[in-house]
Amino acid sequence: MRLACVSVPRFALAVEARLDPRLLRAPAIVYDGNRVLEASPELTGVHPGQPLRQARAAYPGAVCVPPNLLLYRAISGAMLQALGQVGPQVELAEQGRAYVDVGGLDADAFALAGKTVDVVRAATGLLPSVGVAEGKFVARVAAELCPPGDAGVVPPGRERDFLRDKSVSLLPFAPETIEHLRTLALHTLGDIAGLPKTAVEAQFGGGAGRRLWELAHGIDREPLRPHRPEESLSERLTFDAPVVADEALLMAGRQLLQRLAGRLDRRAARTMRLQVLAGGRLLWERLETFREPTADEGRLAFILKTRLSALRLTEAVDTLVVTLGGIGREAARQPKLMTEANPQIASLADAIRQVRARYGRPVVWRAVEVDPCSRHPEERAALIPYDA
Amino acid sequence: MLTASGGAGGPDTVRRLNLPRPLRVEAGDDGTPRRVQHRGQTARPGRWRAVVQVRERYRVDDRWWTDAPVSREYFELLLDGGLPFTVFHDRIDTRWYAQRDG
Repeated sequence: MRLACVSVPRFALAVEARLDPRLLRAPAIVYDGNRVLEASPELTGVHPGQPLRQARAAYPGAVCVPPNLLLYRAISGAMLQALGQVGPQVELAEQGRAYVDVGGLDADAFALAGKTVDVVRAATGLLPSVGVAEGKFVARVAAELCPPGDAGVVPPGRERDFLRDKSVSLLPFAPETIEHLRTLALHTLGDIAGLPKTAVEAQFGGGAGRRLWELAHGIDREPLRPHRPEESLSERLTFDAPVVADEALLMAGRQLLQRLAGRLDRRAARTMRLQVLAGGRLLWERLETFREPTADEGRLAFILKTRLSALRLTEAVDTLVVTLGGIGREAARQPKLMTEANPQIASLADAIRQVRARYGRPVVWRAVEVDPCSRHPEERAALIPYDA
Repeated sequence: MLTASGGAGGPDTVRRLNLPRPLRVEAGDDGTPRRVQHRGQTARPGRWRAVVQVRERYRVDDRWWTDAPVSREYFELLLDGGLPFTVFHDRIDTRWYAQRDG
């Protein structure tokens, strides 16, 4: 499958630099919590996921900025929409990186890449690099090796030649696997491609070994998963003054749910996203995916209460946003196996007691809530003998 | 007092639900899972499945004032084939676990 990989290098830093141009001149770190999210390339040795304390100790002069996650998402959405002008099938692989199916598009690959750069820059103000090749991996490598605003095109059938001298660090594998490759003196993709497939599988296991070998040959079977827009309903409430009390959030959440329930119009939602903001900055977010679509306001309110109760506010917040997604018809509902109204309950309980007596231990259990608001899922519910 | 499910508890033992299960995870440079060894409900090692999307990533730090602190980084994933799956990285024993979100 011929794909264009559109990649904005160091996406978070690029977005932050639009807000604060001094980040273009000074080495910078975007951090999330106490971990590094992204760092300027000159900060060698600093990598995503590293404790921020370590990075700060190594580079005390680096500018450290918190992430603006909502803005990243909005810009990624704009990028996704803009890429619809290039091809109908677009996948947003991660923030700042997307794939477009360009197979069958009647255009020169470089012209297509140029158009891609233009539409993304116009929509987001960011300058991406573009790689056009067969399969995601080769397209991504081609894009990553280009400077922003440029394009790399790998002609069909030349994937292995293109990858031959490229570093194994470009492989989408864990750092431990890359290190393992290096200890085996496999430094380039050509080194791996020169080995028999069975040798790589023997060293790294059937699945990982096969994928390593195939990627080194430029074979990537991972399909494009096109983005499918879905309808969503969103309501937001901004407090007159910032709040720190969970109860205030809960009341606001209920109010927003009431508004949303009125807009559902006999349809059901598949997901609920809760977002808590302060000064336009996203402080906390949670996405709930329901087992089945629901329009039941009571059920939605219960989930909202459970999630917001688990939230520990560390600073004042000013906005709550509730979004219901995957809006559609309520397709099916799973009824409860047993209800109080079931007249067979008594005889069933009697049968369960007899089975217990026969085996000398409980064989039928039921789930009970223990601490439904606990932050740890294993503490929320337990199984007890049915007849306990 | 709760005991683990699947254990040889006494006749009236209460079994905890949604206990974390250790699993193997292949993570990227940023600590985000790329593939997980999903074994379903069986005890056999499962096949590796690619992570299609990371829907959520959040930290849970708790009981740091006790002898049994909890520090976990949760990832709500969508696996190849559309399967939702929750894993967390235990920042204390540095192992990965699967956990249902009860």
